Amino acid sequence: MARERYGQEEYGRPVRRVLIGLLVVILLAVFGVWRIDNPRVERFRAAMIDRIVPSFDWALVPVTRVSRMVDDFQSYSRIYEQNQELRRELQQLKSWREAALQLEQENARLLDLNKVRLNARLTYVTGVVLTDNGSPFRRSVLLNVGARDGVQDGWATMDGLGLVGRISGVGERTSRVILLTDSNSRVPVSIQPSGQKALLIGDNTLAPPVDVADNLEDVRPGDRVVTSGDGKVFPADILVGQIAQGPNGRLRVKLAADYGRLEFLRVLRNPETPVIATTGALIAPDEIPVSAGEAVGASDG
Amino acid sequence: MVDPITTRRFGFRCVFFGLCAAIIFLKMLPLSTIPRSVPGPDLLFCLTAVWIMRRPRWAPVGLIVLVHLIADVLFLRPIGLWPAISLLGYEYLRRKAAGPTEIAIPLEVGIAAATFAVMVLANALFQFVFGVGQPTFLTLIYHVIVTVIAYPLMIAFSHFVVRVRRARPTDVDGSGIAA
Repeated sequence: MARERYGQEEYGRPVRRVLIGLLVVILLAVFGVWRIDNPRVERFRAAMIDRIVPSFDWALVPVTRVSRMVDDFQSYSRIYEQNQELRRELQQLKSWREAALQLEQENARLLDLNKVRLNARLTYVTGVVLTDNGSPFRRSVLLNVGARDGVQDGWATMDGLGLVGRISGVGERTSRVILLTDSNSRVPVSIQPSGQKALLIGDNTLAPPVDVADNLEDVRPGDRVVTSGDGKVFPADILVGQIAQGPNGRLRVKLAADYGRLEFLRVLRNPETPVIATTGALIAPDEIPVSAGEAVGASDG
Repeated sequence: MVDPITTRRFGFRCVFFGLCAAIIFLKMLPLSTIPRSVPGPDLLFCLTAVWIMRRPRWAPVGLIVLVHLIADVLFLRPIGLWPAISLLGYEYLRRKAAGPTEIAIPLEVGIAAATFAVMVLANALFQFVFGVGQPTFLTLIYHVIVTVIAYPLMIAFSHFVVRVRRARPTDVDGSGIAA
């Protein structure tokens, strides 16, 4: 019996090697398909995640809650200091509240004078964060709202305060948010009060750098950063964060959203989002005169 | 009448799959969405490598590829690249482990570390050539270092908790050839 097995082994080895080679080639082909026909494979991925993740929902939620409770429990030890801190902050906030009230009244008066109406189309749908993505190099979260709730690719996502990211990948019941910190994230922003246009570039850190388009001198640490609405990626004037200066002098944005605790996210409905169905459509329509196949046909005829 | 070796092998394959699923699950929990400068270890690699170095038959190729593909899909990585590269790495480890001499643990850690570093490098190279966005070189180095640190821990876990140990010559009649 033993000899027979060893015999099989000796005979099986080259066959095995060929099979492994074949498997590697197949996997690389899959990678090739992913690279070439990205939107379709990404839709497949979204659909698959949509099938797998909600079935783990029963386990995901309690485990996350328990670990957060442990975190909260640890923070009890610092409760006295926190209390003192909160009191101080409350004092400061009271003065701010006063200022805000006055400004609100003034703003209301001015709006009335101008007959301005706020954009009523910006409604939102709120989702709960289901999962992180496991890779240490990508920054995204999965929400429990999807195509069923009318979510579309490209919509902006924010927590109560600031912009968090952008929907990329929608399943029937889930959708993925690429966070601003992801290294693939690029968001056109404008810096107030100078009104400079800039690009917020995710780089896997909590404070992503900004590339200012023209005048660096006009930008100071502490300036507000809001979305500019350029390229129709996002609606304009969503708060992103504040400018801060990095150790090497590079301008970065301190994000307003609380990235330590992404739990409930708002997905802003934006009916004007252009739909990207194929890779070709990434280029503006007026820049592709005729597709390759039609061009060949035209030259023939 | 299924012979006990087959039953046990099947059982441990299930355990392997379960552990991989648990690792993927843990990685996906939204515990901290703050990006850290030091990435976590690649536990999936540690687990698979440790099992391959001890009981190659308990971590069959098909299962490894399946698990890595699932991880690719869920972790938002390029689909198919890492499974292909890691499969070659695992086959290299498998051949090392099948040699006649037993490999001491420090040497094993060394071999695994070198293999993982080459795998990560090849992966980065592929991604660069195909124009897929990728993390900085420093992050990759951190990733390798953290994984190498986690590797002995995974050996300990597999040895003491799951009881995956090298087949000894005395095991042969009990649990079959190299089980």
